[in-house]
Amino acid sequence: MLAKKLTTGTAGVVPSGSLIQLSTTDIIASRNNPRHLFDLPQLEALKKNISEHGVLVPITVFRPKGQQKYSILDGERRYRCCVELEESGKQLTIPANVVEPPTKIAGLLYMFSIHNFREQWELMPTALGLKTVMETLGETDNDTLCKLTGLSEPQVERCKKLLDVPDKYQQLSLDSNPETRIPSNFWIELHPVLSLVIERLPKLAKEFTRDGVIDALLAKYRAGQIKSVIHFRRIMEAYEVAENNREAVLHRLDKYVRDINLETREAFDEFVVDNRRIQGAVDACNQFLKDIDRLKVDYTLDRKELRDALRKVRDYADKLMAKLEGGDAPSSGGKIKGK
Amino acid sequence: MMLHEWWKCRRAVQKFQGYEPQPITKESLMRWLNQFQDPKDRKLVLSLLDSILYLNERDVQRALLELNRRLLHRLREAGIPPDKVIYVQIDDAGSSSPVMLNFLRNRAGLDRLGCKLVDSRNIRGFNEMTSQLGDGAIVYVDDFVGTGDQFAEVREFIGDYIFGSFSEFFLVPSICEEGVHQLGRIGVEPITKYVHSRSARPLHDYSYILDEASKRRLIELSAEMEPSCYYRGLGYKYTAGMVVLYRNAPDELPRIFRGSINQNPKVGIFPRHSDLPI
Repeated sequence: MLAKKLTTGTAGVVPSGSLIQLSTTDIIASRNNPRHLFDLPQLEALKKNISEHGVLVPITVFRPKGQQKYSILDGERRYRCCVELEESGKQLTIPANVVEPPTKIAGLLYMFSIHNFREQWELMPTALGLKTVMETLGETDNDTLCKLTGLSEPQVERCKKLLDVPDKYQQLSLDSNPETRIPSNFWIELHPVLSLVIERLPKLAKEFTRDGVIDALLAKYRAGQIKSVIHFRRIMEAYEVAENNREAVLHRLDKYVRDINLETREAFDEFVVDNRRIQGAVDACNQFLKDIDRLKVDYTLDRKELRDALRKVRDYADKLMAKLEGGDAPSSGGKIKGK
Repeated sequence: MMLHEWWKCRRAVQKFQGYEPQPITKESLMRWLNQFQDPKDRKLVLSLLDSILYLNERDVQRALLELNRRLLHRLREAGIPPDKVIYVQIDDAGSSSPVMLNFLRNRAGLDRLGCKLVDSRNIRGFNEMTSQLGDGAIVYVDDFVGTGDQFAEVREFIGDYIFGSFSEFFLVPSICEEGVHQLGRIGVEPITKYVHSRSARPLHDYSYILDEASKRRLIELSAEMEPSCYYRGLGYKYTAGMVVLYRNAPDELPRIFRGSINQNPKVGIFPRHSDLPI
């Protein structure tokens, strides 16, 4: 019921208040609305407007318990414009609706809405925020959570995946030191790779245990042998494209987990890059045949130039065929072996 | 040594008692002073000592206890009981914030009162605490805030994990004017005893304590102390702060007091721990 009520947005849970006039010194900036969230040209336009007409639409504020100043619930940009105008010597008062402090859940949903509209929230606080929403409202359904928070379904899914990561690993993404913090995306990108290891490399999984595999990959990440967390995708891509060679990919994955010095792309590029290149070459051959057929040159009178060009194509194809069959072309103009 | 120099040094030794990184003695003061050959320079650098705001252990502890008592009283009046107050230490173990919080914990009996204590690096614990309480107050504790940049960085990160309606305070015996503005920008109210204004810092651009020529000369001498340093030897971001805490001098203190890195070639009277040779 509460969830239903809340899906209508935070406005529904913010009580209406009384209107007063405040000076900028009566107000403190919102802690969750850092300056860099604002679009400068828009801010300049608003500042010009306020400079000419004053603040026409009241901001919404509340007074947190124990604080003498008011915190802004809505109207951070108007407030910032006034501060800047005051710094340049203009005196202003700001009409403000004073409301009761929002409840925890209303405040949280407000944070979600700010981040949805202005700047993406980091994945970790989003996940923890979602967890609080789920626990407080007893709601786990993706659709309802999307409506409540404004997050997309994939975002909710990613958050849930992150919340499934054991606490001791989540803690690594909550490190206040950015130098040593493990990005929360690490866990999301790791997820399919870990599943692959558990399902397809049972011997390794048994020997290392699940946490042991995670620890090995963490150590590899810290050692700089996973240069970006998205490189985990290379492993999955290798496994997906190497339909006839999956055993080789799995063998490499086994080695990759065991050997801290084996870098991700160094380990898996050959599976991915080769497949892509071969597919590209096949496409180019097919396109060539299609193009040449479409030109209808069978009855052209002057054929010498064309014959020379086709000969070049044939020579190139012969050379390539020989290489692919394991032969070796002579370095300069000799006859092609194996023909 | 001239008589007035002897007198100034004697007073300085008394005033700066208990500086932990390196005790201030008559000898250490003389070593520092003797680096300046010109009598005019000696007079100038000695005059600077009068503008130092030195907070010894007792000053800091008394200020902290008093400020904390008043804050808790104010919060209680506003309907926030101590068990809804979260005290936060903001730096690594070994730096001043944990020491100050630990002192408060013991002397003000924070645990007995039911206050919560958390390390800002324990984001999960911090997040769970705010989430469980829903509302209340968050009190950051340290002995000094300079520009406030370091704190703002920490605050920006942990701010995303505060779930609920919390008033935020910074309990700090001494703070620079720049720090007050910085805290204001991020919505944290300083609870402090001394606000160190820019005009009270003789080497600061906005100060008129010294005439221009004397100021320029002292800035030159400060820069000469450590040629590789930034901000013309005026301390972090040209703050030219004159506050010195018994535990360590802030990075905002001009080089003329701190000396060179490793105290070589020039010695200071208030070297930071990191300025001393290992």
